[in-house]
Amino acid sequence: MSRYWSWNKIIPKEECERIINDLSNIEGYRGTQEKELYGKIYIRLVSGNNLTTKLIYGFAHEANDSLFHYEITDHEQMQFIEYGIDDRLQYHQDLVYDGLEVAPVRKLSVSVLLSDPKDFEGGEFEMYSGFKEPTKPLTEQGSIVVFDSKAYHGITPITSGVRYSLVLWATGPLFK
Amino acid sequence: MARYYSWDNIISKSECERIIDDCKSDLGEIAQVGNGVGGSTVDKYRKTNIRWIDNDRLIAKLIYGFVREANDAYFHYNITNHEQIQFGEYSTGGNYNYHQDTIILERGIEISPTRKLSVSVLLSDRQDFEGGEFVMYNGGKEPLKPLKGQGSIVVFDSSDFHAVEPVTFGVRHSLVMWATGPLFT
Repeated sequence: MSRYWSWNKIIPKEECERIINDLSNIEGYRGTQEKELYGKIYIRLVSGNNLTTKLIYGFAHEANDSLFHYEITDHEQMQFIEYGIDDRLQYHQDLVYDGLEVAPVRKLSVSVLLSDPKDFEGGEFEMYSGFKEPTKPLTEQGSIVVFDSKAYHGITPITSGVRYSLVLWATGPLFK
Repeated sequence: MARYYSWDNIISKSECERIIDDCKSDLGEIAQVGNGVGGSTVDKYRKTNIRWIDNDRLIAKLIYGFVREANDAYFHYNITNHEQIQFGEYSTGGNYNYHQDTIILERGIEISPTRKLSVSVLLSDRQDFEGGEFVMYNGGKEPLKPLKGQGSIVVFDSSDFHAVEPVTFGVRHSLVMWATGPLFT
């Protein structure tokens, strides 16, 4: 089964909207590598001093204390991601092994759904589960999921509207 | 991409045949696991015959040695023990759908010791079967096929999804073992 820790609708709707408005001012860039696999999502990097970053990193730590018990020492810059029509993320791992990785590595991934699911279609967060149906732990506005960065996950194509989410990677020494 | 450590054709053909004969003889009946069609959950995703091999057999020492070597060279995990070797026989129709070897309980909980590295050994000559490819899930890309030929060995993270494609002709013999240790930190 998929291994994850989640909160459902933990961030109120008004707060989600405030975060979207606040972070939309940041200048971003388009992720264009391997467009057919990953679409052309628009990524804005959020400062480590931003209170939303502090909040989300706190959730990563709480999930770690509850379930994963990994050695976590830091995090990468949080990403505020905008998915438009046809954007998607094919199943992938956030911790990509090439046999030469050096610490710190991504150990826990956090994904936050900021948009109201009524405002877009498609764009479902799925965790690959082998011969079983994919797990869908992130379906409502203001929900948060924390999972092992080695786990394969993806976002199905957006068919209408816009989907906003936050992604943060908690990092630490190599897995032992 | 999934990461693994492998040796191609490291065990000679004659040695592979000796291991197969040894595993098949004097060890009692082979148990069928699943039927590949329906019934229980297991039946739907797996059809193999398996047999457990005692840890004090030399083959167990040999395969565990390969895992330790892969760990020293590549993974650097805290490995403290291993489970029994499983000798597998996939005859025509035999398969094992994409799965992880890590045992994950309800609500994502794992118990210690946990499976950390998996090793798979192809004992059969590829001329003796068709299909039966060992494949590692690789996201939206083509699956990886790290087991090249008879006597090849692959060691990989037990949380990586992998499968054995259906055998369409002949019989495929393999060994698998799991190296264990404290939960990942």
